[in-house]
Amino acid sequence: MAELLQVRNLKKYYPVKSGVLQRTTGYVKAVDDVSFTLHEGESLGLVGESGCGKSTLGRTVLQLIKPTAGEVVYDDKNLSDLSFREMKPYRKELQMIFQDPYASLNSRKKISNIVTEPLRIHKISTIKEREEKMEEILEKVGLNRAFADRYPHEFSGGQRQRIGIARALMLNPKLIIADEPVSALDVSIQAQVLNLLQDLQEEFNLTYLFIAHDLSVVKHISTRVGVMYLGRMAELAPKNALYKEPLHPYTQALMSAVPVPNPLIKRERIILKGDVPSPQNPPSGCAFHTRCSACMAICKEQRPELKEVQKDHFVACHLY
Amino acid sequence: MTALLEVKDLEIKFRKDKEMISTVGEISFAVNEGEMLGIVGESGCGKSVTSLAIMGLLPKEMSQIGRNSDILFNGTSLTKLSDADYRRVRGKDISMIFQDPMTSLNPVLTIGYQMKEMILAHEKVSKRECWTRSVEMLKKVGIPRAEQIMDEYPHQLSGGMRQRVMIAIALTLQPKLLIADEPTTALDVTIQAQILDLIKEIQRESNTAVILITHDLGVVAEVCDRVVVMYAGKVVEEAPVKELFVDPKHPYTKGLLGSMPTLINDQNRLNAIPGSVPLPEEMPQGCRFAPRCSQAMPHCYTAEPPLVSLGNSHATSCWLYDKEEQKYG
Repeated sequence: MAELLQVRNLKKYYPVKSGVLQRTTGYVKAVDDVSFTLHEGESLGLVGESGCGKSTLGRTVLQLIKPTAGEVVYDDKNLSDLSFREMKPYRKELQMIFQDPYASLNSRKKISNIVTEPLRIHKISTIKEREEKMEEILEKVGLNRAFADRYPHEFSGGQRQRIGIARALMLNPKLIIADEPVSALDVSIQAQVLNLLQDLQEEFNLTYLFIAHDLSVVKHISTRVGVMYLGRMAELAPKNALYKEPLHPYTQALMSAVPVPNPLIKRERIILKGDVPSPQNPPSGCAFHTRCSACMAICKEQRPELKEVQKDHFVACHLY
Repeated sequence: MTALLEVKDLEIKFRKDKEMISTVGEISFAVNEGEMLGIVGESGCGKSVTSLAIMGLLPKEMSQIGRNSDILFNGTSLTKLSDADYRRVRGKDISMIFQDPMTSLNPVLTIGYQMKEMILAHEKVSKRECWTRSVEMLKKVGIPRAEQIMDEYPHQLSGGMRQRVMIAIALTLQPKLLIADEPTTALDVTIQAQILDLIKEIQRESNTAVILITHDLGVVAEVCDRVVVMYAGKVVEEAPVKELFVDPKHPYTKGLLGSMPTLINDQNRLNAIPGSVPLPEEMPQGCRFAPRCSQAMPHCYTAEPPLVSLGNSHATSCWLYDKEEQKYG
């Protein structure tokens, strides 16, 4: 598969200011030295607990947040070097679906207005063509074209998420970054939206960067999965390899913590002690060593690099 | 086992404009002593409202409980209690923990004060005893440095710790029944596993009955003994946990299980249930699930299905399992 986008050593640090003079006293390392490659037509899932930096990573890739350091290479260009104006043509090809379908649609605008806005911003096609395109896309995402004259509050959560998806599709993007697109939805609606995302991927040959905290959802939709912990990539592997044989102790604990809807299966649970440490003051060495059961002396001192342990299976852990 | 709590024909109506709209329609279920009952359903199915009704916490001016409804706790009817009497029950006999520990703890009072408040509302004890009991309870729910935390405020704690504090407060007086309304929804999976373990452990140790309200079937499978599945204000199925997952009867339960991606199975497509939950004011006639049901018969649209017992304390409310209906159908 061809490479679509490359992320190299991406970092995003937020300064922490304190005192009367508001001097910078430290940094919250939201994304700390993350690298990966997105291939055309794949879905890369990013999982992790809240505060692990997965959303920040998604937004930095799209340059919605400017990274502190590192490169995002798309079409042989480093997106983080581009100015706002230079970035604009690339935004057409890189779109985003947001988590909260209630907050991501402007409640004062009609659906037709919301969905055609991307075309207006990029000054593409005539009004009539825009309408046609809108009707086509609305149908694709399973919405009635008569809905175009309504306002967002008239729709349920699932329908709103479909509107958000329609808006992202209007510009025929290549990559869609979906930031927790189903976590605000009920199970039965979540299944509808997941099925829709899969259908659209096949039809338009889309690439997804799928950010979620729900391991089962990520397993369902992704071809490859990256596990993040405290701003760093802990493990990155093809779906089946990762879920069959997780290598990083954190991934193992995360997997075993997910409740399985089958009371007949009794599993060994690994229950992690304590909470995720503050990203402002992460532990030395491997960020996970404070909660890790296989912690060694080296883990406290040296930060493990992401290594290829098996084919396409990357782990950042001193055990391997 | 004897029933500790019995909910009989509970109907809850809410005011909308000048009408009273029924959100929960005549549901019945029971909780036995020392049992962990799960109530599952999607948002808007009435599971939280039911728990508030049991606690007597429904807003009086906005809502109304049906005339024939009754909630029996240890044989006494809760619906007929005066406000003062209800206050004696709440916290002491029946306790509740909520979804979001940040909004259910008071941000301007110390943890110690909020622990003390619970004890002093029901018992006359000295400050010193209050303090030692609170610390003991905090330690029991696995809070490190409990003594210091007594003087701290909720914002100084993490989400998991706050939920532990909530559990500690709810359990200080050793209630017979604990209602946990989505206790782990706001938490990360690893923390969720910790909290579920804690609830299960405490339940076994003190033989407290627990009603666990959740939308997550995985959580139910992991910790509950018996499950009640609700849809649009109705109980659609009730069964022991193993039965429900191995042999679900109601089309909605089947649909719900089919639409969940799981870690164990590999499926290419999810069996989504088409459509969405109807609004309370637009409840369909007959079976409320009929418009979304793949097995709906003409009869389903006109008459409400009865609760059919399938033996083994498994019951479902669906015409597919009604014997007489089968004869004609």
